[in-house]
Amino acid sequence: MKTIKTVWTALKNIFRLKDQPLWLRRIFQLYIFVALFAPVIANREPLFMLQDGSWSFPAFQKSAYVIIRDNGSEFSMLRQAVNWQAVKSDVQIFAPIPYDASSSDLLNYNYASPLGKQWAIADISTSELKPISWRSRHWLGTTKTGADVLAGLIYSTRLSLFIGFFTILIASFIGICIGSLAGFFGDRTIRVSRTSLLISLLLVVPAGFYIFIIPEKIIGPTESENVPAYFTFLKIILFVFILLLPFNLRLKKISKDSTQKSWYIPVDTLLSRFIELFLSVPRLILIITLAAISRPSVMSLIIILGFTSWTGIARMVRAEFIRLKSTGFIEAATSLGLSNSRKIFSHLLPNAFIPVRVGIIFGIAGAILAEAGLSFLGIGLSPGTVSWGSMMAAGREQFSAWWLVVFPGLAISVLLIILNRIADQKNQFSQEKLL
Amino acid sequence: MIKNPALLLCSFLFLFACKESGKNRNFDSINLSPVVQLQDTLTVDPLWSKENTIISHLSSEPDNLHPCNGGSSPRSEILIQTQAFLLSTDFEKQTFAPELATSLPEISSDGLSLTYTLRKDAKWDNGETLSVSDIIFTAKAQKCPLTNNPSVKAYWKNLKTIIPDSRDSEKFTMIMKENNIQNMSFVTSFCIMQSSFHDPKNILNNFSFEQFDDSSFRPENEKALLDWAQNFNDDKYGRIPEYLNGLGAYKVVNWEAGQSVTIIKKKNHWTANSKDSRMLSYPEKIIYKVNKDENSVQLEFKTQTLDVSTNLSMGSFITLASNPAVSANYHHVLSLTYNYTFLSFNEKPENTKRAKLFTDKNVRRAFAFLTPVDNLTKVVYKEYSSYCKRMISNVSPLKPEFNSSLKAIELNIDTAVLMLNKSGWTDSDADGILDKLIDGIKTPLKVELIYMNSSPDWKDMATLIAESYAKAGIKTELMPVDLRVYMEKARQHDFDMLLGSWGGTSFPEDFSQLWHTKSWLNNGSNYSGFGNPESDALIDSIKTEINIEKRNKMIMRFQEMIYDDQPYVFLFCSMRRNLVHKRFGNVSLFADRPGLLLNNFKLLSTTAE
Amino acid sequence: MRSYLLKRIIFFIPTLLLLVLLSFMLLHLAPGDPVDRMMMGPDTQYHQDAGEMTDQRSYWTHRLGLDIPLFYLSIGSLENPKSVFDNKVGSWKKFVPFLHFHSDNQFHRWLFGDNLSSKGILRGDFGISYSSGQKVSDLISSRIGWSLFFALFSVTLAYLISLPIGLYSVQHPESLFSKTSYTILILLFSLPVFWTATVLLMIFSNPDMFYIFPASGVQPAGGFPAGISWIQKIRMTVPYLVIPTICYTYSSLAFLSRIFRVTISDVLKQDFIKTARAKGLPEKTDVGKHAFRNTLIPVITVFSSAFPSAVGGSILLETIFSIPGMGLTIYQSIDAKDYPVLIAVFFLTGLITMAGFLISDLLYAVADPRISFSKKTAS
Repeated sequence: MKTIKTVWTALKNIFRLKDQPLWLRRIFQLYIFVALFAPVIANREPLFMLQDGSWSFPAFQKSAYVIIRDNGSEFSMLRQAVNWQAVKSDVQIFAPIPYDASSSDLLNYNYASPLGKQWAIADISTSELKPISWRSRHWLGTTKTGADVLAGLIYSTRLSLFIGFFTILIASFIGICIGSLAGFFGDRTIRVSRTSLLISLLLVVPAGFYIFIIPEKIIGPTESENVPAYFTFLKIILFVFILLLPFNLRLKKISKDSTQKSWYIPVDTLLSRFIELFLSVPRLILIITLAAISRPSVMSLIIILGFTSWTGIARMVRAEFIRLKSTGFIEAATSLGLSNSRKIFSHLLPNAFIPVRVGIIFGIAGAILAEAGLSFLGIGLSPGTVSWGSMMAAGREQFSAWWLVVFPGLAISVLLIILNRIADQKNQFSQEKLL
Repeated sequence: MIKNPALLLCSFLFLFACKESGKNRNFDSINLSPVVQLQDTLTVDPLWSKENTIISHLSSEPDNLHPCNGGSSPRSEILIQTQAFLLSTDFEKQTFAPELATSLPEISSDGLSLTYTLRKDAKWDNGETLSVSDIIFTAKAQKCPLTNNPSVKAYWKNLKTIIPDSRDSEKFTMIMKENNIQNMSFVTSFCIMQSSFHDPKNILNNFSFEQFDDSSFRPENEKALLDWAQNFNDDKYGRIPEYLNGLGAYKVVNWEAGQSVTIIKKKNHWTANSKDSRMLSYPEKIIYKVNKDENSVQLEFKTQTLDVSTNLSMGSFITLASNPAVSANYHHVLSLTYNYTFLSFNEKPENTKRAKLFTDKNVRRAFAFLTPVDNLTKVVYKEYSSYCKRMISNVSPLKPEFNSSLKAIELNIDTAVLMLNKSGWTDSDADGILDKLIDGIKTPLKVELIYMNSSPDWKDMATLIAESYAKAGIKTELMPVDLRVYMEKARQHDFDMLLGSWGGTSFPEDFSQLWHTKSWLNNGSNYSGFGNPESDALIDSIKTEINIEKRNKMIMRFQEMIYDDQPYVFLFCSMRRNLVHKRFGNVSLFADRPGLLLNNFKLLSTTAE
Repeated sequence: MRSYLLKRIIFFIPTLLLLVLLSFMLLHLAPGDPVDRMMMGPDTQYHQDAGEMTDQRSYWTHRLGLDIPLFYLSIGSLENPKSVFDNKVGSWKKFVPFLHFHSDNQFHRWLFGDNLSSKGILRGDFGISYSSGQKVSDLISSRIGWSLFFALFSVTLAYLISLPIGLYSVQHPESLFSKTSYTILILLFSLPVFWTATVLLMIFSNPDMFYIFPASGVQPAGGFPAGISWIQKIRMTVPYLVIPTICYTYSSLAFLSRIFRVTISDVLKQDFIKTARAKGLPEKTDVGKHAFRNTLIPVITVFSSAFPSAVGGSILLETIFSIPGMGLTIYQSIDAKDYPVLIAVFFLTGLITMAGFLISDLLYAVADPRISFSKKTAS
């Protein structure tokens, strides 16, 4: 419970909404509202239906089949196949926008303009067309297959916010961890005894063999493909744990033999080189290769993007830590007898946060745009999913369909403007207050 | 403050959008015969460029221009102009025509010997005359195991040897191993190379065809052959203009990597006085310009920096056709091709992890009833979709051997659901997805549909297909993949359904490539796994039948077999989008690739001829 | 300082080698077989029986050296390393780990060349591309020029533009210019680069609107006219470069001016600035100098991150403008599993990235003398 409270306070401190002007808060809340309540705002199915005295809430039911009553008899139909507009009922209440994000509307296909004529069926039996009613109009136009753009915008707000937020969560977590470790410990702080190092090195071959190779051999090559993916993750953790064991056992007490048979671990150098290695792989190659292995779902995209965007934050945190170390207030804190973790969390991190905050906020935008770029290339989310990026990529195809680009573009830019105003606010933990 | 820039942007784009929506669709731009001769413009606009240069659009760069080691279609397009072949195709008459040979070959009664006579007047750039030794060198180089041509080497496998005639120095005979209707046609794909240019020391003379066919032959142990191959395979022979050598009427003078390839007409070429009108070359220079971006290509046509394209998307074609400025300067024609689009099932998912979803022919037929082909053509061809012909079985409706008694399968969801239920697919757990007990395991009808991510049309088609299938309780997962991954999955049968297209030619097709069981066993182009001994036998007899009437009857029977078995849902025939600048005359469009011959384009002059 | 520099440069080589080893592993882990891809050809033009190609396939696998182990060392059992996966009843030796040494392996061949077609990287030969048959060094050198040019030029331009904007915004925070410039930059930033590229093309390369710039390519099609001086060549090339440069640059403007503004205003509020002012130092020069140095840290960090993308290029923009750069080449090589090209790309990117990091770390020390990399006594 306490962790939730601290996380909530941390979020509040990052976003600091109370100090913003009213219009900004309202728009931001609008985004959150739309993201949360998308299925109520735009839905193909009626929210409420009254048929022959029995009422139902089709939009909220999860069942695959729905019961349709027609002239006294009832039958069940597959939800996907129902044409709700044609169902006879006493009362039907539809969502404000009676479409969902990707269903086609072949009467208004091929980029119907929001300002032009749109059509609906006048009579099912004769397939005659009539001009569409105000209630069912596609207010922001349609795509090539006739999918409604406004519904698409609404659902993609939810998706893009989700992607942006969680990507940067992963990226900043990794980045802050690595950056602060590198900056704080530097090259000459951590010591291990030589024997532990040697033992650890010797353990690499047997541990690797028994953890990675033998299990596959025992199960057999075909069966081992059915093992879930996170097993590999567990194996890696086990491997690292075994390698770290000798250090924990403290075969020789370091503190007594302080200058002999012990080495410094150059944490900073190792981590910096690691960051460089990571950066050396052009991000696109990594993403394409990873995307080729597993079909891109929202979660895997978030993980891929998160794992490839942490380097910038790590470097900024490291640079700030190095700078702050030289100012001398770390020495002051040491002399006060503060522990390492207290130093990092209460003093260094909040100060290092200033440029990092900017990085985080732009990172959210960057993640959303990265997803857009991937949609453009054809990699990325599953093709049925609608996102701001996929709409803009589709909009490039038919340039005269300006509504496909202007509206998602506006949605992104307004969100970014808000995020930037938030980033503008001064951090209350700024350095001048501490010193 | 914030709203203003956005509003400005909106109104700006609005203005711009209004400009674009001209309703000026020229419906005369459809011509539905296999060969279309474009009407030369009567009035030549004096503002048009007077240069006798064609700038042709390529949607991708050639991999290389090596006469032997390469395979992309831009390369073939360019090689048609810079190289020469023993036989070529007369697209208008739809027959083979001699190019370097004086006539079509004499074929022996068993079909294994083809005797050609070379023309005497063909000269290489250095003055040497074409001789039989060049033919023998070309064949040996293609068959040599050390040559870097893995994607085409198999085509030469059927050639046993070439025997020059002892009396007539221009005659030679190709001996083939098996009788095959492609024994004559395969030479139209491979250009002849000059032996003194690529093998000045005559090293290949020391090796025989039998040696190259022998699997125990170890070419790495032959130092001379190794050195020759090292030199021959060198990329300079495929890229640097000085090292590009050929018998064609044009030669490459410049290749800007990633940008353009320029060829110019050779002076006093041996084709200059040819009686065959296809061999006459009029343009002085041809520049092939690479441009992958549709919007950019549209702009280039608006500014007249491109003259010809056959690679436009449908959207670009319609936008340009409805632009009055563009249609004043360009012919825009939709021409028919023998290419078609299809949805393939995986009938035989053995040796893969795929579920046995489509082993039952009734299930496949049910899916055919579920596929909304008319909506697909609407989305791809938009207002021209009514001109688009449906594909019924594996032979194009443009061909004489098309079986017109077979009827197209129309969309009918209820029939489909009934058929699926009868085949054992019911929704036993009421989760909205049909399922069935296969080998004791309850398997849901979840289909993974693979398609190429190269063009957005595929994605739109796949989305519509998935939507339609969902109405019957089938869950379709869409998986766009790159070309090579696509080919890999298709050949290794690692798919449930796939969306694809085949190219066609006007020539008699050898059905074994796509439909013989051998082609499935060997991971060839028979993706679906169609085939049984009866169909195999029919394919083999078609391959060897010379009498046209008998063969067409067999082909119609074959179409019936395929129609019954339903290995594919056949979709529609593709139409090519052509844009040609009006300042050129004598332009013919034909169904086979590449669709037009640039060397025949005549620059119309301002004075009436 | 010098010893630090030396140490860093010495570290280059093992890190690079480690990078290449990791990339070998990554490439082999990814699904797909380069020989299969190579034999398919880039087009579906030729359908043929793949069965007749099995001997071709094994020949090419052997010839390209893809059937030998990856590295000098591999972990296996005491028995023959290949038999670990055999389920035959074997001896106890199967369960004992052992480190195998292979003298002939792919890494070795990359370093020293096979005796057939390549001489190895130690003699400057990057190998031959699987898909086009071109020498990798030729392929990369013909493409990398433009990628490097656009990346570095746009970064420099971005800095030159955002610094004055950031400074001005700090000095006049409430002015109209600060507010609107920032908003416009944010608007620009939020538009995906592929879209703005198209918009700019449609507006400025369009005869229906303003036809100022050409629509594609980096030089006139068909080459330059014969016999013109290189100054004229440059003048003819410039119109082709304007719109792509704008696209490469604009997205970093918002971020950079934000960074400048935040750090400058932050530094200006610090105590030592107050001290300097109190001492009566002239505002513009000395205070400015003090302030400037301190803002450089995050700025340098960002600058060095431009280097990795210099080699990789931007595939989006290169596709749209038909720029012959590395981005498209890399994308196609991934598709074709063209190992020599990809390894060379990893190697070069690694080299340039590490050089960039080294430069930025040195610049840290120059910018802030308190940061020192020379050995201190343990604190």
